[in-house]
Amino acid sequence: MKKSPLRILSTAGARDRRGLSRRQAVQRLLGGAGAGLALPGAQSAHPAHERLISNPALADAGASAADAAWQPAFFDAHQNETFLALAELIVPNSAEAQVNRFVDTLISVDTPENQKKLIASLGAFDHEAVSRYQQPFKDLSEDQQVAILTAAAAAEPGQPGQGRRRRRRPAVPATNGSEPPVLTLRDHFEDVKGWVSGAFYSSEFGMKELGWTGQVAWDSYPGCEHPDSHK
Amino acid sequence: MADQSTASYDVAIVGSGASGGWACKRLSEAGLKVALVDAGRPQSDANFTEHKPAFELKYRDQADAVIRKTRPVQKDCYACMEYNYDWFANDLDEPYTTAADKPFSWQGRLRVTGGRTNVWGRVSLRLSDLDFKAASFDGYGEDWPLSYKDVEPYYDLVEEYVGICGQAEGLPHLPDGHFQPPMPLNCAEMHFRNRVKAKLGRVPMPTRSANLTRPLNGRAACHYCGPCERGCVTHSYFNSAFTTVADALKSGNCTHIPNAMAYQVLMDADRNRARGVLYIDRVTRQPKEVKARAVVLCAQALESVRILLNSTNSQYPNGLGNSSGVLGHYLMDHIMGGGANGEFPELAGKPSMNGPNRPAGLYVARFRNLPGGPKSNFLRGYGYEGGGGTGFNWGAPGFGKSYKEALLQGQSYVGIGGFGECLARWDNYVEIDPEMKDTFGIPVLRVHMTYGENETAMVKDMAGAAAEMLEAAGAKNVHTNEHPSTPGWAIHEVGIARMGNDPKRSVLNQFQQSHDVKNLFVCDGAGFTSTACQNPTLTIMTLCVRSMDYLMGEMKRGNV
Repeated sequence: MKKSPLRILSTAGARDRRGLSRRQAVQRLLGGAGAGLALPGAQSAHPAHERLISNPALADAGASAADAAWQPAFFDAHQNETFLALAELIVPNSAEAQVNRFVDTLISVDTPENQKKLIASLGAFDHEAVSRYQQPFKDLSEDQQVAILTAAAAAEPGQPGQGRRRRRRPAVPATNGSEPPVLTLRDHFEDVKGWVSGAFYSSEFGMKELGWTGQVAWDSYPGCEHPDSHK
Repeated sequence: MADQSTASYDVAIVGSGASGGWACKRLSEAGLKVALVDAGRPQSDANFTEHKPAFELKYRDQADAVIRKTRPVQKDCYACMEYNYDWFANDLDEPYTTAADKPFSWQGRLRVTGGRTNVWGRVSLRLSDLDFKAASFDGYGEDWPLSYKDVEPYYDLVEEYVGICGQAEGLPHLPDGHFQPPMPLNCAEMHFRNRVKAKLGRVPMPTRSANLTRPLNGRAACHYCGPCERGCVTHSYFNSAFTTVADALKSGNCTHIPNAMAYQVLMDADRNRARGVLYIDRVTRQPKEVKARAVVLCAQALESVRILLNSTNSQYPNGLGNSSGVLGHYLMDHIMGGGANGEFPELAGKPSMNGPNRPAGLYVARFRNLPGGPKSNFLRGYGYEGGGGTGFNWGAPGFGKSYKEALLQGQSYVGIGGFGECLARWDNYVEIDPEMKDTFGIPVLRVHMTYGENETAMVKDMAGAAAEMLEAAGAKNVHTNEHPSTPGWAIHEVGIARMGNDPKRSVLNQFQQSHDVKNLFVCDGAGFTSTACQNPTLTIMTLCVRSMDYLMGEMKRGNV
């Protein structure tokens, strides 16, 4: 059926993509990167290029995210600012890439379970901020915010599969009872980070920062070129 | 009273996908008048979005919940996404039912011309006599009523038209085809192949894929943008819509009837002959008839058998062409859920956001239960699909500048997942739901399917053998996956109108002709006598072409 790396994640890993994490969503996008408008760098006379058409109509999608009078559809004002403060520290330039706006769009149509989870994660950061410094997270100094994030990133995760190695996380949690797993600040950090990184690296700004050029056509795929061929 | 047009055709074909497209092409090009009854609406290059970056979509294809509102089952399919989900059936309009404890995920129900070939995975593998005569080899089930030498020239013909890239490996149980040059393996994959061949004698190879690496019949070679499931304006993958169906329409002998939901095969009961197809217009909901001298069902196995089961009459109270009682039974799919992945840190290249993105990867040929080899604790065998490469280290720890730097560390990996043969069982079957109708008023299917001990044992073996291969190749951090798939997940449903020589134990003969009704053929996967472990589509197309040659011969001889 499939061949690109992202498909590997489907066949060898999670068979149920309902559990697609933000990071996996970004990896999925890597297979589909390609601009509609221009063919920079497509220098050859490959016959394919004659048939490649410009994208006639861009989706209207970006428009609402870009206008100055934007209001969040899901976050309240405090949640939006908290999310933005976290995002900018976790993945710098998130504000410029309007990560908060895209995540607000996404979370507004997501399941109640995921919505609750993100709100709880933002609340957990406010709890930590008030406990340490008697202010909500977004009102702390940058040093204070970084101190909290540093502690969060180093804390033990509370449920299996969280943290660095997310690969084997089951789509459905093991049911040994009806107790939901206890989440730590590390889990909340990873949840927010997943949203932020997924949104940033799927934005045009973030993709370009990583070197995306928009090229859509190549003459060939460079296979292994080592004369001894890894015997 | 159904709208009865005065037109009458030589052949009415239901379905415009892998088999339907070929049936239309072969019959139309031979001069027969063909009606293509197509559940889909017409497809065109204008609908293809393979070059559109995700950030031009409202949700950048990350809002699964939105799609699930109308496609709760179709969204299980990897190929159903924000770009193209309107090609897929609306599951609310077109439901099906299952027994409470027997989940079945009926994915890949397409409603555009070309059917599943719009979004298929393109892996194209030949079956061999180890598959066609599997029952003689190990005693389970029934042999197919044909052998490799019967179909070999048709495999050649189909491959040469479709365009399959790949390379010869000389494996008798996975016959070599007529290939265009393969899409090359990258370093991690080449390393994996060489070590696995040398240490274990197993053969990972470039995927045999319906993607062009050379121009063919006015179609361009692949330019490696990546997402074939979103279409292809250069026609570089095989999609019936712009190949076989287009050829049929060009002949001038094929009348395309889109948005037509086939409901029943209509019978001339006195003469035990099909007289045409009753369909419901998907837009107006009007019933209409298409009259024809012969009927060929190519709607995909589940839909074709649904039509037959909905076509009862006094002579065939249990479904049309079901004097054997076998119709609807022996439903099979490929068991999945066993595999592994591992890392090759010393082979990591520099990750890139840019292509080229190769639409083919690795395939590992079956190595279990081969003639002369050891027997496993299960019957039959499995192959693996997979691939490798270098990706960004998205799982990099931390935050801020150090996170951004860390994710630039290339992660080089290889991963493989198995596709295993499912044994044919009587108690895996479909019937018409006693009560539920879809939005067109057509009674829906009720599916009863579970995997058995053979499949469970196979998944365990798939996982272990995959890890063994990765370890033999020196991979680090090898993770296995052993989680048997829900039936339906491979989207390779076959078997429910099986072929055989004995009309008491089969529905179709070796030419996919109904034993009972001589002018009725079923040319999708319904006729498979066993699943083998190879992806079925190449064989579906091949058998259809052979069967249509037979139909044309029979029509010339006045037997149909």
